[in-house]
Amino acid sequence: MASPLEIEEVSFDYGGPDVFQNFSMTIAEQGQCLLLGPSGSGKSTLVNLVCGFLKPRSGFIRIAGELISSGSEPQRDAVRRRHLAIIFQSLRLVSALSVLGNLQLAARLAGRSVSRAEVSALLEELDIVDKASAKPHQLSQGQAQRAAIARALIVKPDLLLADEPTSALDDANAERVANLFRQMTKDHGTSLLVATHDARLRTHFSTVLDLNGGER
Amino acid sequence: MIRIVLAFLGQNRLSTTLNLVLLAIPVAMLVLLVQFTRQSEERFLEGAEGIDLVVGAKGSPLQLILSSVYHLDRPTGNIPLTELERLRANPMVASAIPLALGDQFDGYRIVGSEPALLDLYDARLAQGQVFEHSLEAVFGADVARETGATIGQKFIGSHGLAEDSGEAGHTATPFEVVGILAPTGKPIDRLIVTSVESVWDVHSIAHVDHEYEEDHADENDHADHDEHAHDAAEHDLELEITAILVGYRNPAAAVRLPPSINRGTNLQAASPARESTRLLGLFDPAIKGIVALAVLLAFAGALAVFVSLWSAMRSREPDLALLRVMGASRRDIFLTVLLEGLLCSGLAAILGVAAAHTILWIGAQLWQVLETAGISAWNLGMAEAIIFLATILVGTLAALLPALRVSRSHLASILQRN
Repeated sequence: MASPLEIEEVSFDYGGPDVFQNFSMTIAEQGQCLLLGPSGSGKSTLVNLVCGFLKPRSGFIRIAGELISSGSEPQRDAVRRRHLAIIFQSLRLVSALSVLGNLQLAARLAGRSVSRAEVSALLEELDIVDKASAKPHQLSQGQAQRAAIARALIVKPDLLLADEPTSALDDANAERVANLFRQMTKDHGTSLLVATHDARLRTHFSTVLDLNGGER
Repeated sequence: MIRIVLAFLGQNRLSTTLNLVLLAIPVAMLVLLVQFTRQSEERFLEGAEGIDLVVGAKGSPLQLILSSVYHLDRPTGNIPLTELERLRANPMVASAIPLALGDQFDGYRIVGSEPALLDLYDARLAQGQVFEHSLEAVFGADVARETGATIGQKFIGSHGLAEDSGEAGHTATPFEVVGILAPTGKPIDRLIVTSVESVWDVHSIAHVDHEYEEDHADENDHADHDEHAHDAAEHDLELEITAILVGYRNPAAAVRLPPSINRGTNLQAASPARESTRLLGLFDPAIKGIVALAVLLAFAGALAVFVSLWSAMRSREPDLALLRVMGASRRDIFLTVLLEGLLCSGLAAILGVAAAHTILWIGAQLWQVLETAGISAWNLGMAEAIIFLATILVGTLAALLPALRVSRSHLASILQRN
């Protein structure tokens, strides 16, 4: 079985100094990794590279064995669709759709057909089954976070990438969200990569990659 | 994809509704215009069906057609009755129906003619019978409905062709309603048809010894008018009619008959088809002007859709970026925005067509004149399909630029901003 994420000797720049030079990392199957670094450390760039939104100057990035660092945009879109789910700090749900609509759309875009029962079970698991018909603006911060996790997990991705999931939360909530991410991905057999500047999460992950520490 | 587009449309209900209305108004205008022009044109041409030529006194050919076929204008004058017999003897003529105009009842024209006139307009009797004797009359459907006339009812005709002509009634010679016609949608609905000799009788014109009279009149029924006939005879009045409706025996007659009448006699021969086309052509500039205005409005509506979609795309950027993150391709995003324009214009087109037909239906309920002009609310045609497709095309084109812009935007920089 291919590794959910392999970054091999990646170098990248925006036309100036290198943001990454020969950077490598791997996440094992069902592994959980924290990518820690302050603003400007290259965290968001790495997230965009892993998602296939940016192309490295050199090196390779594979998701579940498929290259996302090269190829045409439709090819990279397809790799992302098949293997990756992403949760951004603010971009969580499509605002025009209900929670249920978001989950159904995500599944359809990933080429998966999901039953209403499957969706309900996942929402039940995340304790927001009563919010299935709610629009994103009707949800609290925590509920929206949970709905975003449900939206990501419904596609059964090989890798879940969460960008700054706890930056706006207090300690108690940050801990709750971190545990939720870890537990849910573990329960669903999904690997997890959390990119954040929130050092409070360090204690929750056994594998921590500190971008500030120069491990690029 | 339709679901997400509908969700986006529903998210901005106010601007969506305004866009729909802005596009629907010109659509409704165009449909109304098309309906009015097409249906009234059809009705106008239907009114002249079976009449190849109208022969009457010299004057304006259009006036002759309007007065003799559509009964809308004053006649050009009278012509001798002998011309009718002359035409009937012509081998190129299949039918020649006389018209004697000059009187009215309650604003409706009394037309002296023959029962063949009813056949010409495909008129069937709803009640009673066709006139046989002098001073018997058959009412058109509209006349009967508006005047509330019943079989056996007497009425007095007045000289002149309009209700407010101010002329005295022919009180000595009342008509009797013997028949009421079923509606035809043709000019005969608004006419009172009687025999030619009835018209002569009420005007005290002697005709008892005339050949035409022998063929068509009953001597006994003219006993009451003997005195008037005698008076008229003393004044040596020539028997006249107003016009003759001619049907050709063969196509060659269309080429030969009108010039022979126009050049060889003191009469005028006018073709209803040619004059109708000439008359409808007079409205062309006005119709073109309204069409231009409606097209201009349609473009204004399309511009509104464009501006609305353009600004909506900025506020919708995060949602569309999220769709890309979730795996949607640039093509999917492009089609989503395009579909929004298409749906918006499609809905506006449906709304516009429905509004136009509802207006026609309400109008037909409120104003009898629309029904008389042959305007029906449920008459859909190819023009509507063209307007419908053109609206969708315009709406889709308006969405093209916003769709291109949003589908080409750089995802990494959108994510950076959000």
